[in-house]
Amino acid sequence: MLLIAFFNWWYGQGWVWIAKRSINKIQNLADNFSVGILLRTLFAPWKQIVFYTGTQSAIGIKLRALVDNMVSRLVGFMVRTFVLIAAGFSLVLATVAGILIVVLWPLLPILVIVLALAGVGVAGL
Amino acid sequence: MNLNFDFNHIRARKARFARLLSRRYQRTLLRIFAFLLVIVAALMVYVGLRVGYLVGALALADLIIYLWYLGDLGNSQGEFNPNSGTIALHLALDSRVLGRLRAKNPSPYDLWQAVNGLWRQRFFTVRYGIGTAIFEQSLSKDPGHTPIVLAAAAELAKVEHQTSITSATLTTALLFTIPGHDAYLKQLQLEPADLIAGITWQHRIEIVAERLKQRRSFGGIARDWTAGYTPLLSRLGYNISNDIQATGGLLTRDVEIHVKTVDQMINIMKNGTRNNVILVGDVGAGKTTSVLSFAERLLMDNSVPSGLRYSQIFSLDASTILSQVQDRGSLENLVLRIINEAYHAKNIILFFDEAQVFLHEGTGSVDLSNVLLPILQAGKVRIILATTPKQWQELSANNPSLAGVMNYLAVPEPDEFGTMRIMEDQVLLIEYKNHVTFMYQALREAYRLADRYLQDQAFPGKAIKVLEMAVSNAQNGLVTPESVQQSIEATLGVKVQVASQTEKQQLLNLEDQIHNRMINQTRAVKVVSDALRRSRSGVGSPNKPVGTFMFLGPTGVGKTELTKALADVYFGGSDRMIRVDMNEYVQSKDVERLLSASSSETGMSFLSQVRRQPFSVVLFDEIEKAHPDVVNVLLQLLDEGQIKDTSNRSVSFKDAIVIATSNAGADEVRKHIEAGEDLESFEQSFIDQLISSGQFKPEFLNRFDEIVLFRPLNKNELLQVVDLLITEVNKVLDKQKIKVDVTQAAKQWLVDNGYDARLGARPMRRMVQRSVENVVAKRILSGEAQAGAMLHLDVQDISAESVQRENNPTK
Repeated sequence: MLLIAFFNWWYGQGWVWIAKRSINKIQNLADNFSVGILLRTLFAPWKQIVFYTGTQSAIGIKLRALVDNMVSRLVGFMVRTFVLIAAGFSLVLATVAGILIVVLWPLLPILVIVLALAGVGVAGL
Repeated sequence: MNLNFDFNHIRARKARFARLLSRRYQRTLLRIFAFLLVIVAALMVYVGLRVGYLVGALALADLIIYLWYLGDLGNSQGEFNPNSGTIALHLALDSRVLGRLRAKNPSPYDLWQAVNGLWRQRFFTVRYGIGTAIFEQSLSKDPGHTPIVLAAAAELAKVEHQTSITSATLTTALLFTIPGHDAYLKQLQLEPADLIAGITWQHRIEIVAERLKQRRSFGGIARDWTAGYTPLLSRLGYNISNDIQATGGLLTRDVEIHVKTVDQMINIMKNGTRNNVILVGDVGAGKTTSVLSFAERLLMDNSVPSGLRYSQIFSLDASTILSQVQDRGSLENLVLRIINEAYHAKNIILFFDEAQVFLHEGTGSVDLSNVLLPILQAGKVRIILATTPKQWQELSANNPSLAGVMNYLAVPEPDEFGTMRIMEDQVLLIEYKNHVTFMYQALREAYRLADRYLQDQAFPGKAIKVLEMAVSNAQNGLVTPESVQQSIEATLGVKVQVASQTEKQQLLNLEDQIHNRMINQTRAVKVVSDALRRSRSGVGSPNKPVGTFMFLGPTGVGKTELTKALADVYFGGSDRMIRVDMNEYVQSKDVERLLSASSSETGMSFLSQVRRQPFSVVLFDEIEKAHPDVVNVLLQLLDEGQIKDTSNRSVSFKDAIVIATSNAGADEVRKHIEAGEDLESFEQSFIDQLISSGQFKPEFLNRFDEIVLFRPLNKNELLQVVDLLITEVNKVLDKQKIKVDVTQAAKQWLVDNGYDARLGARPMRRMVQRSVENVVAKRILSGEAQAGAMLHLDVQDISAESVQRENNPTK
């Protein structure tokens, strides 16, 4: 009776549970890397390092500010891109691991039986 | 209520199996065992042992059971429908209880056995003092009584919106079905509703614990990369958001009114036009907590608008800023730099707690309204200010343009229900920090005493303050109502605990003790003693002063002396008497001085003294001299036991005895007594006469608990007064080990020569001073009286001194 209840859960709600758990892990990883924020602010200036010029400023000063601001944005873009790449790798790994767990999940109880049979030396195993 | 229980139902079987892993250490052991088995299996297979596969299978089975527990066994939800007339116990019971239920046809006692020892049951033992004995001794072992228990449990679960009958619900239901449980709860100072509140409290603790266990996202590593650097703010301000992040989120109770305040703050700030809020509420009402809650929402609530999400709140402190600068110009410059930094960082909200110190010139405060006004008008920087209603009123009056640009948000005081819920949450933090456990009754007591004694502060802050104070009086780590009472007694000097055996004896014999200090006036002594006994036994009204008395009679009959004796004997010393000479309040404008909250160089104001020392004897001496407006102010004091000072703060007289004395009609009293009449025979007509002659208004006299007439002392009584005075002299001389003995004839001489019908006992003190003390002083100085001496004084000794003085009065 208890064994039936176990199999019932393992191949039903248990499978869904482990899949959700894997998805949660991936989401947490994405949160830790701030993937959403990184994508939204990919070209934003680095740490608000921005140079302001007045409307009356000389063209040279305006050009200088434009260049400086572009550098700030470039630094931001580079750092964010680097982190996004690292996040991408981590997420791919986590996703593969998650998929593997979900795929292997139904095989685990069978594996117990197989290993046990192999252990006691059943022919062919 | 119909009941069925399938003992072999799959949920019941699973619950019993899950019980094997219900403790954390059991699950840890399972994991360690699986890990070790994996290593052993790998080693065995490596060296070619086939049995290694079997060990591997065991390790995997171990892991599978662990996963089953995590995903299913440990979280088995009940399927309880409170509206159906039938309870299927195997579905309705919480799995932890179900797993411990051993009987197939359970009796109430079997249900108790199932819950006994579970956390939720122990919760009631520790926090409510409900022991196990009452269950063990009173619960029925007849299964026929079980439906009654479950019907009660179902009702509780319905009220609490539970999907299963938990051990808390079941414990409470079991108790409610025990005959005489009401009396048992009353012994523990509990009501049934308190236990229901306990079920909610437990549920809340579980939610908080679950919240703390969960991994919480605060935006990740790149969150602040779009925000600017804030070196100045980091140095001079305090980052509240960082604090929240470090502790993984605060235990902020979602009290409806605070949630509403935070919602309004988000609404105002998200519009981006006038990015400021001024929170207005009394001290302790939860202004700072609302800001903390707001900071938490910005960090953790996905529904917060993106413009506000992850904003950092920096609290600014006036004294820190002031300490950085030398002059006003530098100060304004510094504040502008701070605000500029906040503006450029883009993710900063500035919080000026106690805003008045930034908007008012004074010691430790500075008026920055000129700097802040244009910034608030422009709305470029998000700013939160917090202040009290009184300060807001002053600000609105003094600087209407500044008040006009602020978004006013009231932070109301939560009601008792809301306050208790906040206290339940906050107590967990106090317990965690101080390694103590609070009883529920301690929380109730803290609420009650804070309500009574900390009237100038608001809930929930003042109740939490009382809880924090009570920690130092915890016994064996448990904070009980007595701990709370002790801390209040130690802090405020009031008596709130049940009278001890010694105090009870003192109260029962109070008249004797007072009579050791004063002669006769039996009725007056009795009425004040009765008032104290009523108060300390809890019979008297808690919303009025302990007693209010008007003492009438000629001078020198013991009116003031009784007040002093009372302060000394029961209230703990003559300094417990607060005397107000009504001769100083003869004009209408004196009302303001009487109600003054401040203290001057000459001493504390009357109300400050009462606030500092609420447990005292308050004496309004010569009340008939006071201006009628002053007397009118006292009406409220006599009626409600409290008055408001000039700062509109209540001052409580509920722990004081209030006594007013008057010489009005003294000659009339003397005439009646000299005519041989008893006090009782003319008392009422005398009071009527005082009213008809306009000396006192009837509404004033009627507000006293008792009006007591003091009668003039006769010569025999004055002899006893002389005895008391000589005892006092001996007390003083005791330090020098000298004793004075006055003969009966000498005492009689003192009375005969000191008696004055108009002045009562008052001249006797002078007489004793002049005659006895002078003689003793001379003998000490001449060496006649040395340590260990006993001076016997007779008529000729003291009369000679008196005659000598009369002949040569300048000496």
